[in-house]
Parts: sequence; C-alpha cells; structure tokens
Amino acid sequence: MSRVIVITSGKGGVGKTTTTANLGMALANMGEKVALLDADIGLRNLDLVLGLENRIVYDIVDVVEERCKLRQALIKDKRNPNLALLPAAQTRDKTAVNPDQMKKLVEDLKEEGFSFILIDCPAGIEQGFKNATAAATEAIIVTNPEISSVRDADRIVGKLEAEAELKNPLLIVNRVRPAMIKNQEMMSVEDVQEILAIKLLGVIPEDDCIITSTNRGEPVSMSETSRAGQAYRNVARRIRGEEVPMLNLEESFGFFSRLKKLFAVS
Amino acid sequence: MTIAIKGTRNGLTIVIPDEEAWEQVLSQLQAKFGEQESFWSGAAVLELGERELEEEDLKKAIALLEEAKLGPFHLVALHPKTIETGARIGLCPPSAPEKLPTGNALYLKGTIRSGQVVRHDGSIVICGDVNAGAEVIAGGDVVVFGTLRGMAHAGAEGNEKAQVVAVNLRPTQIRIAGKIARSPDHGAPPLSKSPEVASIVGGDINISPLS
Repeated sequence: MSRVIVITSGKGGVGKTTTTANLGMALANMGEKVALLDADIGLRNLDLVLGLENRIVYDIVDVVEERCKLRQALIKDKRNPNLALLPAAQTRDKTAVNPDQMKKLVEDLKEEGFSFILIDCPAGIEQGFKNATAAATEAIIVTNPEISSVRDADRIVGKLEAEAELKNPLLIVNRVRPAMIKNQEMMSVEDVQEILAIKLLGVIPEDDCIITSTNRGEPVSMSETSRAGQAYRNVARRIRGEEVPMLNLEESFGFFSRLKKLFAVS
Repeated sequence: MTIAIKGTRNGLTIVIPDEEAWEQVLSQLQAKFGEQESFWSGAAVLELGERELEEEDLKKAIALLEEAKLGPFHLVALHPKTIETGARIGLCPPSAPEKLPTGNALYLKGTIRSGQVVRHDGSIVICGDVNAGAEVIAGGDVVVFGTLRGMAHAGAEGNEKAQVVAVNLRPTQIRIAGKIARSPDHGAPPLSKSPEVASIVGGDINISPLS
C-alpha cells in the first residue's frame, strides 16, 4: 500500500521543494521506494534541487497528454535507485493538468510499486494547489516561524479540511533560529503550534548548508554533518512510524553562541 | 518524340518518352551513344515514365549504354512492374537529394528565458542568450550568438546533419534529430573561449570548436 503525501504551505519560499527533496532522499536511503512528483508546472525547481535537470526528456504534461509512457518520464535518481522524479513541465502552466488527471497519474504511480509518493505543491491556492492535493491522502504543511507564513498555513489547513478532505495535516516548522527565539525576536515552535493546532512532525533549523546543497543539487539529508539534514532524516523516520525525539535546538544554539563568543574574543 | 539527354547532379539523365516504341528507343540510343564512343562517361539515370518493360528489354538498353562507357545506372520509373524489373537487375532510384530545411531561418534578438519555447521548421538564429529551462527547437540548425544554457534541438524532424552552434555552449541538453546529450553531472565543463559546434559524429553528439 502506497502513501500519497502532499507537501504544501500556501506561501512561497518557505521550503516546500527543499522539504520534498530531502524527505524523498531520506526515505529512499531508508530503503523505501519513493516517487517525487513536481506539481509546480511552469515554475519547476524540484529537478534542480535534486541535480537532475539535465536528464529531463519527458515531463508530467507529456504523460498526461499521452506523448510518452509514465516510465519514460520517471527519472531515476543518480545516487539512489529507490528514488524517482516525475518532473513538472516548464513551458506550460497549471491549467495543463486537471485534478482528475492527477488522480489517474497517482494511481499509475501506485501500480509501479512506490511505497511513498510525495507531491511538491506549488505556492498559492489556485489550480496548482487543487491539482497537487487532489490525489493525496496525507498532507504535510511547511511553515516558517513568522506571521505571514503562519497565516497562509492556517488558510491552507482550512482549505485542506474543507475542500480536499485531508484531515489531520502534519506540521513542519522550517528555518527555525533558536538564538532569535531565545531573544524573543522570532516566533517559537510552540507559538506556531498554538495558532495552527495541528500535530508537529518536525522542526528544521536554519542551516547555511541548504544554500550550498541546493546549488549543488545534493539534498542536505545526505549530509551527516548538517543539522538540517539530521532534522530531515528524523522527520522521515517519524513518517515511517518511528518515535524520534525532536532535535535539541538549544544544543545548536549553544554551538552557535560558542562560535560567536569565539569570534568576539578574537 | 525522341529521347532527351540532360546533365543533372545525379549524372547523365536520359529521359525516354512513353509514346515511342521500345525498338525505336533502342535505335535512338544506339544513334546517340554508339557513335561518339568516348564522349560520354560516368553515372546515368534512366527515366522511363509510365512504360512497362520486360527484363530483357531493359537489359538491352543497359548493355547498349555500358558499351558507351556509361554507368553505374539508376532508374526512375513509375510503373510498378518496371520498378520491380529494375530492382531485379540491380537498378534503383538515385538517392533522394538531401532534404534541406524548408522556409527561411528565424532570426530572434534578445534573451530566451526559462519556460519559453522557440519552434521553427527551418534554422533558428538567436542574437542573445538562451537561458536554462528555455527550449529552442528547429527543423534545421540552431545558432546562438550568446550563451546557450537551455535545451537546443536541431534537426527536430530527423535531420542528423543539423548542428547546434553557440558562442558560449553550456547547454542543459542538446538534441540532434533523435539523439540526446546532457551536460556532465559533476562540475561545469571548462569554459571554452571560442564558439563551439555540436553535431552528430559516428552516431553520437560531439562538441568541437567552430572552425
């Protein structure tokens, strides 16, 4: 039985694509067969973050419009054969696909034997959102600890419950900076949870590694040293049903503050 | 009606009118080619029109022309039986002339950006850059006076002789006819200071300096 999870946020730039790529890679590295589906037609990025852009020959619209078979469009990851990407089309827009076609597509992916199908949802609440959520049976909401992204996430939770019949979405709070929280300059994870009142799946600390890993096309969850990578691996384990305690952010705070002190002295 | 002789790129073309009896044709051939023995030489094309011919008759004509130092021979015929007869004794139509891209080249000025597609039956010339995520698809060649970062498809209708030329060739992918080449995964290739050309060499897409 495959699980179909949409990763959504409402607001753009909070880390949906990064989260999709990292969870996909982490799950694949745990032996799961994972398909990543980029639903952001016209503004595709997932291929870039995974470093697979130059392999794209066919895309989701080619499959839907029957110019190729699903298997021809699926790009096997160059590092882990358990991971496959169905890229979005760059030269079309969200109207190129409709929710029924997405459902059919996901059914076909299930038949290919994937245990996880992760759908990278575009920003916004229009056609792209409707497409991405149509076939999903679970949802992960990504938000940043700041008011506008929390506001949009709240809107999304409401829409998921009302329109997509996706109850009980799970929350990932991304780009958390413990030092700022400590100084009360940033909303804490608890503040976010209080507003959204959905179950917390994970907390991802702000990490410069994300920028370099994105530019290199290598998901940070492959890195042993990155804290964000560790956090993503923990989220992947929780998705699989393991009980994993939340990362101790204080620890990372301590590390950074120690670094800061070091620089202050010198 | 008499036979007509034309010089074409496929060699000497001998057009034989349908109305003439074959015996007449043979004697005309004899008259034209038998006398000036050394004047003719090289490949020849027999254009037979709708005429239906037996193997024997065709062989007689060929033998006659061979004596005049002509050959190898090609056959252009419309009657299926004649085509078959020709094929039996090793006569085939001359190879079709190379199909050149139709229409004029499309000339564009400016940057082709991600998500944009330029499609044209003939060749495409772009005075500007082609960014990653953009697609340029041409029946003929693709020429970029700028940096090619996106996908270029030359000879999209199957012309394997088509080329992709760019002042700065750093594409995500290059396609020529049915072949696909992608950029290397690790590290950008060293930036060539001179324009480069991608073409099919020995069945694979090959990149070399434009000379």
